[in-house]
Amino acid sequence: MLEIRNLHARVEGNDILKGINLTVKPGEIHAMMGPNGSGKSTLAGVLAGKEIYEVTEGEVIYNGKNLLDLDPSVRACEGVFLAFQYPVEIPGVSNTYFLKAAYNAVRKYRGEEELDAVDFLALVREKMKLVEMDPSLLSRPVNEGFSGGEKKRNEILQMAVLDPMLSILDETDSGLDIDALRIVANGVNTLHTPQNAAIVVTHYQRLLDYIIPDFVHVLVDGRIVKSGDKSLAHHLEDHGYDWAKDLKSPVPETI
Amino acid sequence: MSDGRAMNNETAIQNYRDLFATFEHTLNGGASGETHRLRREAIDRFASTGFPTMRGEDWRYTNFNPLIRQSFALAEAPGAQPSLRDAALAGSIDIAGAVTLLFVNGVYLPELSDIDRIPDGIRVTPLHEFIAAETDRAAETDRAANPAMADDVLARNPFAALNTAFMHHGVVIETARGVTATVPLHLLFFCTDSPQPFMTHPRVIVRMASQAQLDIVEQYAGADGATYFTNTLTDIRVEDGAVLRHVKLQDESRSAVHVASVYTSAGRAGTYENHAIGFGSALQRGNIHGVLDGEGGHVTMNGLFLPSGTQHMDHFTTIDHAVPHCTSHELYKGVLADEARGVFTGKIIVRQDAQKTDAVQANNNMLLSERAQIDTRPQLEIYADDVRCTHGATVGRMSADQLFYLLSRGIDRQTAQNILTYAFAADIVARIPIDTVREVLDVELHRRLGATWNK
Repeated sequence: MLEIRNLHARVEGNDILKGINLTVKPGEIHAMMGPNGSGKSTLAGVLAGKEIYEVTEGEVIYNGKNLLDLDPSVRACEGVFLAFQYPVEIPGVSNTYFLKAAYNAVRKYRGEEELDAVDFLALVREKMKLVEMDPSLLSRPVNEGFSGGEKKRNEILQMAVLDPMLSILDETDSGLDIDALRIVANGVNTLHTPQNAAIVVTHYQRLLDYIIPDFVHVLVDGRIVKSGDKSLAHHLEDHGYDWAKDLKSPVPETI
Repeated sequence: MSDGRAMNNETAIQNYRDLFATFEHTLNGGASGETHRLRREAIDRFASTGFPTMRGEDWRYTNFNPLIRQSFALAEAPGAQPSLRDAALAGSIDIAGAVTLLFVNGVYLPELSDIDRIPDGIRVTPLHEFIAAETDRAAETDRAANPAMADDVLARNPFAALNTAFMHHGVVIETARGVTATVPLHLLFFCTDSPQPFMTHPRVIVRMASQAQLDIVEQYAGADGATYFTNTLTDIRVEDGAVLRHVKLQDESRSAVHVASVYTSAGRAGTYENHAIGFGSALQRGNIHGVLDGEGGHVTMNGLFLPSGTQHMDHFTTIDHAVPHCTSHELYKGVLADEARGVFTGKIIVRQDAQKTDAVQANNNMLLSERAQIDTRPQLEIYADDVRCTHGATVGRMSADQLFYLLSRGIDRQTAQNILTYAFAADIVARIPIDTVREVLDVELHRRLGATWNK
């Protein structure tokens, strides 16, 4: 589904990603772990198409397409979804209006019929149960005045509505209490199928108690220095990241 | 160059003097008496200055050369064919359920207006009848009844002088004490297309008796591509405890020049609200002068302007707190596309006696293009010491974070920009307290943002 090859990226003149290689297949959950500043959020942003990141080398093939050539909105329509670390507030735009505009944009792209307001509302109410979200948040402006937990649930609600192929969860656990974490993780697990995949970016192992990854990667200074199964996450929890900082990154695979 | 401009203004002045002479002849018996003395004083006032130049402090961001270069004829009074009403309604925004008073090319047409539906306790008199019937009172109407129409109005505002010189068409709206009108009056000023560019100087006088409540929607619209010059003056007095909610909708032809001067004052515990929405015209200048002269009075001035192409929209607002314990709220928002220009000047005067004044002013602007431009000037003149006055102005582009958030959910760039522009602008429409007007303008805003930015 996703093939990242020797990806280099910089922001404001600083090199952040220095040769990322990663393959994600349908049905897999990958955890991307690493200390602050290692490039985890940059990787998430580059995949979603955030413009402040400049890709200087490498390529990303997503379902046979060169992902980096696609406009962010086209990436979303193609099934890439980024759950934001800091969901953006949009005063003046109701959550329902926003969700409906997004849902119908994706439907339209896929050549499917757009849903009318009544059918859409029924769909959203169904999906809201998944994240145990207060229905009153639908009529409020997008994320405005939402608590940290409500914002993260709203991200997962969007994910549920848009039904992506590849979900990238950027520090979705940050700022969540244990109940909210459980609800969010339950949402992600419920949405997971053998056909879709997820990259879970996190600093802490905590989230991985609820979302069980197939693979764990350790990102240090813009490179994946270690990959393994979920036991690697426990090792990081016990020993921190310092040991990993001394690891030499594996030689990039030849392209 | 300055000589050339001055000479052109001289030519324009002579042209207006000639037009005034023609106008005088049409008045027949009306060319005498106190009102006509005022008209003559006004044309002399105008002639002494001509159109404002950019050297004048209050006018410096707007070039009125289009008015100097182009000569405009006096509008001819249209016959009252019913088809005119259909054309005017088709070419303007429909205000459901409102009592429409129709003006075509500046001329009030009671025959085509909903005069049989005017609410009880509200009297609407054609201005020329008002002048003819009560000559002395009519002249005094300008000067005494409304403190905002101070003696220096004609000297300070050449457009007010010009409107006064040609004062004839318009309406006088008077309420009985304590009356509450349940439907808005919709004053629809529609200009037709004409081979010869023409000008109109309509005047609306509103006298709100104490404790009366009324909603007025003034709409200015015109046939597509019609070239004309609207120079309107609205003179409003809100007596003690009265409430006037006034919506001004400027949707003129894109070839028109629109100048509007509003002079309003509110007495003790009186409330005046002005909601000005600007869509149309090539060049717009709006002057709104509000005076709070009775304790406990309140003024709201909100505005939204959305120029695109080469449109120029200039707003000059003054709120004068003359007495203690009054409040004023002002919020103007501009959305400027293409090569459009906008100007906002918000002057708040707090007189020495006006203790406990609470005045809030903000002007927020969104530039959608590199070449769009806004000049914003908050001006506070505070002579009292125990007051709360805040003001702020912002000029910005669309938030990149908000835009990316929408894109990342599959919404295409154009639609995402439209949504964010709408979200910014809709705030002003949402503050309009008259349900029917707010709802239709919300729909209109959706449509326009789609049409202008979703090509």
